[in-house]
Amino acid sequence: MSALSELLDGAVREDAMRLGGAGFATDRYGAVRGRVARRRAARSAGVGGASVLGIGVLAVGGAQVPWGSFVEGASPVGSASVICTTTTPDAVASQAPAVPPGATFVALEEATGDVVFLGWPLPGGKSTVWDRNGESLALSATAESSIYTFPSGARVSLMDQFQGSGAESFDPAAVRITTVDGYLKSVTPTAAPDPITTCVTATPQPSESGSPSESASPSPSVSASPAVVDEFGALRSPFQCGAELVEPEHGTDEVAIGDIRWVSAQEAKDGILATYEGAEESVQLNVSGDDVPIAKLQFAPGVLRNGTTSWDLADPANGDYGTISGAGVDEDSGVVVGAQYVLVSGGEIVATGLPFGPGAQAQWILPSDLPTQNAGAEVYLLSAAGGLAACEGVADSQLAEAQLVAVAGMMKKVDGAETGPFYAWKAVPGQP
Amino acid sequence: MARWEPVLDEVMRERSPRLLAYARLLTGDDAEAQDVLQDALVRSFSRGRAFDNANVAEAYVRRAIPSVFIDRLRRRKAAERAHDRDAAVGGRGVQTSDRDVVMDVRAALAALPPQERACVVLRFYDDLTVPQISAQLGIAEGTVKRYLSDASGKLTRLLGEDVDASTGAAGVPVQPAMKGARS
Repeated sequence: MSALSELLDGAVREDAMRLGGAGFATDRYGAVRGRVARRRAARSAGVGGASVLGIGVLAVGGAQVPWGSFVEGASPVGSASVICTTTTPDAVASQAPAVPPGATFVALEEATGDVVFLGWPLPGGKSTVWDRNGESLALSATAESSIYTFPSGARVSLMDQFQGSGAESFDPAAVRITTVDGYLKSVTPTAAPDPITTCVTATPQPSESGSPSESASPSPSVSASPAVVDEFGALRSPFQCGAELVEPEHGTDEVAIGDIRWVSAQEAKDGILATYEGAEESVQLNVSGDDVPIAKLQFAPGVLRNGTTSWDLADPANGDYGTISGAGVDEDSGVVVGAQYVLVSGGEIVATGLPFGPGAQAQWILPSDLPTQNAGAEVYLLSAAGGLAACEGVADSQLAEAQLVAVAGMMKKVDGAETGPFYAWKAVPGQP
Repeated sequence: MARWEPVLDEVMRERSPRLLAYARLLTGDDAEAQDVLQDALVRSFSRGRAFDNANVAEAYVRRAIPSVFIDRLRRRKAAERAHDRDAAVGGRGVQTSDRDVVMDVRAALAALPPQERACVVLRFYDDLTVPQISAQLGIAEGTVKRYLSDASGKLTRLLGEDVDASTGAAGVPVQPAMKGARS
């Protein structure tokens, strides 16, 4: 009698000899390498591959890194007098095509590099898809959306009325959707990918008590200087792997992180679900551990207006999230907010938050006090293991010793003029 | 060159034959096995991990293959296809003439619905337990048990009593289906 396991093992041995691997490696290496490079470049910007874009929605495929819970302790960020960021661009340069007027998003087929532009040329109008030459492409219509089908068969759904407009890939692994601005950034020819380090002199006022509000405030020359904030471009932000956060806390009048409190996991879950009364089924939460940190985001009074603010876990200035217009805030005035938890070791970000994606969410951002002048938001870390992804090359020992830090960013548009991004961060105090 | 590239290159050049063969167990088709392996490579190398060597990377890729296979099934609305194929296999498996033809274990595997095939490969080739299969494929343990039970019965009919498709680790309920049982 032969065991099935033995037969299977024999089948694998035979097939391995028959199939070889040279052809596969030759034929597929380029495609695999290209897809990996693009995804890693996106991840290094703290975003991942976007599959859905719309107001307040950026859904991506996510990964769970199976390391244990983070470790609370004293902030490792020192009292040095500069803020530095180091980046290693990993993007692949290519020639950018002309953008058809009215195009908002780009659908990029990973395997072929085929690109089409998606847009809604008229307010409230029907979806339109253009090729690289600006020629309109045929769509098939359903009751709720229009469908574009790539020659390969990959499909994209365009929602004619999705809180203004929106697009979704049927297969996020095959077709990635990004904003036009994000796409143009990704194809803009880049310099040699040498690490970029940017430092800004500051006058530190390190905290001795750990109190979040007063003693740790950075000097006005740092916190209020647009020049400092401008140094943090799309790839140089506290949402990015490798960025160095020398100060234990940073914030401006535009955005700051106030109190960070710990609540029970059940309390956090109940608090989130309570805001979705009647639609709790639509909220899937990945909760682990006994306690959950909640960081309060603070903004200049009145800057947030309900209905024109886009919320996300991602960097508001990253390549996929793009500009305010790209995020769906297309009025004369509006705000894009992003916030998440990261891990910092030796002042350097060693793990970033996983963005919104399908399935249960381990990080959550919830607007608060809307639509009052004191409107803000709260950021939850419901599961450290499920909501954080280790950066490339980071050892487990670094993760075990890393400090949990809440980071936030915002961009705003006032009377049509965009400013930002403005960033803030703050180390999470240990549990009481 | 990024540090992951040499490892990717080595895995694709030197490890792909066995990875492809493993993927083929699941897919039953050479071309689809290549697609599954490609997606598994992308998935494994895209997640910011730092693979020290090809052995570690190969292990990750190998583990990703069943998940990719199942994900692809789901995306292709596998439920309808599996139902159709299941029905076809159910009628075919009891025919003696087919049993003579399908002596090759690969062909027998290919005759199973994809979900059952994945469970069989993980159970009998990877020697995983039911809870481990459940976790890797993202399906309930009870469903895994049912798939294994159904598959075991079909394999016994297809391959004959000489092939022991019911022997597993202790505690794993994989019994040949009785005549008239669900298949």
